[in-house]
Amino acid sequence: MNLNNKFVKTIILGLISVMIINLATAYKPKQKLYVLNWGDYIGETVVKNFEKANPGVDVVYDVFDSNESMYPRLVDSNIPYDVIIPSDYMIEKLAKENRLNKIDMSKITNYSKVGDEFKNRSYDPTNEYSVPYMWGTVGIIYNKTLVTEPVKSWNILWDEKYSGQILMMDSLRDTMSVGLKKLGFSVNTKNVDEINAARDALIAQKPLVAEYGGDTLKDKMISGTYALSVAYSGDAVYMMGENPDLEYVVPDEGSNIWYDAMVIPTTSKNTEMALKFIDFMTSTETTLENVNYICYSTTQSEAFAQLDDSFKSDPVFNPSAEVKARCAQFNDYGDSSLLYTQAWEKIRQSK
Amino acid sequence: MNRRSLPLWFWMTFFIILPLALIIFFAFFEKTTEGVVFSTKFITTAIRNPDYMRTMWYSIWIALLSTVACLVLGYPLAMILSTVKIKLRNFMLILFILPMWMNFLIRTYALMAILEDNGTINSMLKFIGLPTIRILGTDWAIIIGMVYNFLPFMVFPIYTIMLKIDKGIIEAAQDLGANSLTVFSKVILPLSIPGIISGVMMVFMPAVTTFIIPQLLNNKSWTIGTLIEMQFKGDAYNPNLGSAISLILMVLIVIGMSILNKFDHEHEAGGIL
Amino acid sequence: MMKFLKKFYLAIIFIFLYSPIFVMILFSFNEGKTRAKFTGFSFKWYSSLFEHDILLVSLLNTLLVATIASILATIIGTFAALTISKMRNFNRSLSLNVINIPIVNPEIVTGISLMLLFVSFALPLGFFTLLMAHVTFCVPYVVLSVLPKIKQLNKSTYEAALDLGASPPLAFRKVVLPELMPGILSGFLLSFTLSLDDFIISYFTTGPGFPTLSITINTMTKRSIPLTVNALSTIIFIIVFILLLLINIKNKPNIKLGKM
Repeated sequence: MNLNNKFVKTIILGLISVMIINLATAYKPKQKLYVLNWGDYIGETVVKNFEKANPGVDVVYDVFDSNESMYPRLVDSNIPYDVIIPSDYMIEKLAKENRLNKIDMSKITNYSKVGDEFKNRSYDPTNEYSVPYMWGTVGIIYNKTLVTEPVKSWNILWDEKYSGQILMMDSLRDTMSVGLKKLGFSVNTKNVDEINAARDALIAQKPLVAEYGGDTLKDKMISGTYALSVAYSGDAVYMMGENPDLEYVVPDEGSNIWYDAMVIPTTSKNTEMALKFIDFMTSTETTLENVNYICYSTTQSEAFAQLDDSFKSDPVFNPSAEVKARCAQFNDYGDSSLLYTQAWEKIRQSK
Repeated sequence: MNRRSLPLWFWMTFFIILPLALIIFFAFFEKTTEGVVFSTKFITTAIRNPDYMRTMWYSIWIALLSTVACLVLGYPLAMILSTVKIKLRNFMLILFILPMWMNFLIRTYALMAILEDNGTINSMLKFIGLPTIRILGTDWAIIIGMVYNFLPFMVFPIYTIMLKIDKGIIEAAQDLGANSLTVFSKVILPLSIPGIISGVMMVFMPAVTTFIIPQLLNNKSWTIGTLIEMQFKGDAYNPNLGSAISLILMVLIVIGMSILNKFDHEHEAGGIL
Repeated sequence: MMKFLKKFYLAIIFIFLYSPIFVMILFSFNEGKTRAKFTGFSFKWYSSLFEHDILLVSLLNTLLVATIASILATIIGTFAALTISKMRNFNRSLSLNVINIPIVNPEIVTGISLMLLFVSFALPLGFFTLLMAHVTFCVPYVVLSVLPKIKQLNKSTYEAALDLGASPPLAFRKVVLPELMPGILSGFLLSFTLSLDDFIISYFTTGPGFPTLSITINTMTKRSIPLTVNALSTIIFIIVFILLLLINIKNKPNIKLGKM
């Protein structure tokens, strides 16, 4: 009996130790990669594909609605974000504040596929901090059946005829730019009179506006209930695909041309994996998946060449040089930030 | 101060007092290139900015309307519920509480589907040939949303008080020749006032400061909640100013509550429950 | 006449309360993508919900936090109530006022103040900070639930137990605790409910790795809301309905004795 007991005990101990050793070796602590991107701005399975290609990595994917709401998240939350995808002027601001890590472009194997017109831009003239992602214009998307006149100017958004059927963006810069362009001013002006004039025009417009929204505007325009909305070109391509009554135009007064790019903030604790992620996103295969899902224009030339003709020949997706010429890129507001913030607060709080 | 109460003091200091102290700190001290500097500019901006004042009044006004709506709708409901037979009453209470146990966001989202421009109400109107009405995107939508979410908080205190009203007093009044209206105005109403005050407090305070209901139902004009949120998480990133505005809001609420407390003689630990 | 008016009024109120819910349940079975038009009957939103949808993950997160937070808050709150009950005069009213602060303060201020606290101590916003925040706003409610019960305690029973030779902890467990139990339980339930339903405080104190149900739905309202939300809501509705019915059935014997 004694022998049996000892025997049984040893067997059990042995089994338990085998189990423990098994578990210990099988359990690989997953590394986390924190990605912060615009909402609705990545292909459906891209993150999963990256995790499959890099086992042991768990991507924590977080979204934001505007560059302005992204900034507090980066600065205030103590989250070790590894990759962010902000816009041009925000990259300029982050770089100025020394919040970005320099990117070793030699590690981005797909960098050569990025078109030259997207490199060396003013927000990153020496290509040290960012790898281009998507780009586009801002314009008016309208419903042909509700707006039967030609749409050529921002003024149509102030037309009483369409009261209650106009949608505007809940985004400081994009909406202020609409006001500035309507009055013929630069989207980067630092002149307080011009800023306030744009502000007052937008306040006057308020009673006609049905809603200030973000991605919610897409479904609203597709539903056919609203006549006009300000929209990013990529969203416009998507909306027009869902509702053929919709058209997009960049008004004659001019507008904004924007570029989004991937950066590695100084909060990153895993720059190796961050670089891999950026490289992955820039690969042709992933780019094609992204473009086909979100319909935004890509900065990657090899992928562009492989796109369906319906994209390439679409003037919204692929605007002409003439359209691009009347669009201006945003620069960081710098010292005049406060003027713009106050103007925007006034607009959003007025009745 | 007892040694045994030390853990409690420690917990209260760290989790209640320290956070508030931080708000006060951010309201008055600014991190500049020369280090941490005292400044009254945030508080003065918060007080002097006419837009902020207007937003505060707007939030108070909407909350007031919502509270009145809750009171007008909830008082009769509380009365009826307190007089219904026991069996039916419990079932009704369950039905009444049920929506409250679903998530707050879910409830408000459900309302959106009914109130929006191509939502249920407008679809029905279109169906019978009437013109559609814009509800979402107006202040009415916010009030409906507030009532939808806060009605139970008004009904329950009043209902609880109504149950406690001694039926004997009512019978005595009737014996003395009072008609229903007099019984109500001279007996029931005065006795239910503590419940009304509880209900008003429990609806008005959250109604002023909530930001989700206005954001989902009418985002055209900011309420005080959104204004503060924007200073910390949104377009108008300025945590110092946000702290200053929060501080003022806190002070106003504390003053308001103390005034209301003066009316509520039964105040005890447990007054809210 | 009066009876008819009463019934009519009740009916209107319940229609008001339940029509949004019924519309939501209806559209959870929609074949189409939007909540604007009902195009056909389908269970697809339910099946997609169970394919590791973020909504399900958020719901589990919410339940996890609510459970842990309410247990912690009940323990802390009960001890806090006991400590406060032994205080006198100035200490007592000071503690009561401080404990009341999270209840009286607007949620947005509590949320922001806690966020400032965590960020100042270089804590990354996530599960841990969310948990601490939930415990913080639940404890006062537990204290308020337990304190009245402590007041009603019969001191002589406790002393009698001591006289009969019980050690203070034993006397506490066998005499005091059972009498406090109703207050402790209602404090626990209250904490659980508040934590489940919370949005504002969670919004400021959680991080990207740990979304709660309210946060996920809020994020969705800024984009487009998939009908999986409707499916999840319907399931929650059914579960809560059954729970409430069960509670009611369990309580029925008391009620027959109780009121009139």
